[in-house]
Amino acid sequence: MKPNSLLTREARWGYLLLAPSLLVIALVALYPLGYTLWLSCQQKIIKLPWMVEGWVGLANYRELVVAARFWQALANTVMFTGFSVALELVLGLVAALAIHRARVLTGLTRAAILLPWAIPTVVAAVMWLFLVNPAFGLIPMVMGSLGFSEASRVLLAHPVTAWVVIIATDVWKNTPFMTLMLLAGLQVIPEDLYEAAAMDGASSWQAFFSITLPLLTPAILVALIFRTSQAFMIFGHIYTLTGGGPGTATETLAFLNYKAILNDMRFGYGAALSVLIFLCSLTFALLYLYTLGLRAEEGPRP
Amino acid sequence: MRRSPFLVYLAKVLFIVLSFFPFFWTFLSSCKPGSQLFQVNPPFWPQPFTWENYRAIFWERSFYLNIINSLVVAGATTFICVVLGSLAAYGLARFRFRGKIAILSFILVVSLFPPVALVSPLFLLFEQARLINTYLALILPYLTFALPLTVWLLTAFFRQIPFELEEAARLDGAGPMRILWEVTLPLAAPGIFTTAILTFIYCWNEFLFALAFTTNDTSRTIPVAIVMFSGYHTVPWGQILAAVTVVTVPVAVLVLVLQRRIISGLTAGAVKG
Repeated sequence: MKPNSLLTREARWGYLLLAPSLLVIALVALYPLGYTLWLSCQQKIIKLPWMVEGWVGLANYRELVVAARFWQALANTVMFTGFSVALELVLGLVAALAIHRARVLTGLTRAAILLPWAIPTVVAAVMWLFLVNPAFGLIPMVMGSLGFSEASRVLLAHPVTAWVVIIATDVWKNTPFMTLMLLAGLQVIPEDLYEAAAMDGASSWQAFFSITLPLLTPAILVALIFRTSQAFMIFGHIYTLTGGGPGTATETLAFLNYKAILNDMRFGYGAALSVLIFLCSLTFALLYLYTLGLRAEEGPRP
Repeated sequence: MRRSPFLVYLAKVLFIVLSFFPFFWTFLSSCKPGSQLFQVNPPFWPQPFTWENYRAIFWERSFYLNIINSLVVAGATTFICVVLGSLAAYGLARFRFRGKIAILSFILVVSLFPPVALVSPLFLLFEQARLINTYLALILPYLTFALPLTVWLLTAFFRQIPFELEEAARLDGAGPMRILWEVTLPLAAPGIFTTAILTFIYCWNEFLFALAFTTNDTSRTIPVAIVMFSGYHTVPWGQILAAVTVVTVPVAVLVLVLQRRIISGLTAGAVKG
């Protein structure tokens, strides 16, 4: 094969095979994204048809950055993402180490890992909503018998406890996924490294910090970036558990965006918020790409 | 790494119990008569055991329609993605051409698109085209996350298949499409199956698009229907929990039967040894 010819027979086939998928992605994802960009500079409020529609430049963005509600939602999103992903990482690591240490990944453990992951987020949220129901939920009942009956009555009515419930729901649903990713990472660490360390008289902590953690770092990074980008888009929990309340205390960026578009029917303003969210997610995507190091995968394998 | 086995054992048991308990409690509660469900200190076991809530969601509500909607939307999206994705993945895994890294990166970036960023243009477009409440209004946006996922996973699976058989077929004079159809696809069948399951689950669970692009009971998918069970004044908890149980049981069976496959799929694209 001549490496310098622009379109070899092989390259032609490659492009031909990819064309349908790329065309579909361009149509359903890129075109709407461009539309969002355009909309973000438009005044378009369906509820108020007498408002003049048209080009307003960066007015929507200006309105957004002076709104306290936007900054609160941003702070909430960052806080939620930080807390839930950190908890999931720590708990996931403990669970992965325990499961790996026990050697056998039994069917029961596998099911316990996969079931919370496999159900819809809102179904998980509904189950937790029932568990924390102030009148007949199990968690307030247990809290009451431990002497916290007053706090248990207002779990979702107080900003702090509402966030605790939201984070708990997310941690319950996503720790198993984290565990799975880390377990896969653990399984590729060669066992003889530990044997050698043990022979050199290393303690188990030393072995953990000088073998397990460094070799697990790639798996941790991939799982972290993936979870972070997902957590940043949190919507279903909020919609189901609190509806953004009490007041606006648990509103996140995606939730605020949804409300701006489908409750207030402010398409231009909503699009501006979407663009900002998109820029955040692009950062995560680029981080992810950098971590995966796609270069290593270049070309077909022999 | 030599910690006391008891702690390890305890962590494992705790993990399993915590994972399963909400499901168990949901099921038990869904079988309780209303008087026990809304009791201040609810009894652990339902007495008497009742299927009334299950009867209600199928006979008083049209929950079966929501199940059909979810099946059709997730099924159609998965089918389209597997067909288009197999072609693309074959191209990415087996052919040498410029811009491959750029294309793979692009696909990954699209798979991490925030769904909410597509809601406002798609809503306007779908309303103009009178697509709100149709299957197409869900299938099209689902492709945005499902197709990149499929291409990504299938590329990883295709790369694991030994090259020699295809080489032999090529030397025998078979064209790329024939090789794909007669050699690669049969060899890749387990990987394709795994990819299809994962894609299906992701579509089955989708909430935001389904909430935004459906407006009536009969066109909703399961997650949206369950959330919409609540009225303004009453929350029919018994029916909600029954519906949750009904949709969780098939997932649980799927997960139990196909656990190894699903795990291989989840870790295929993400972790490189």
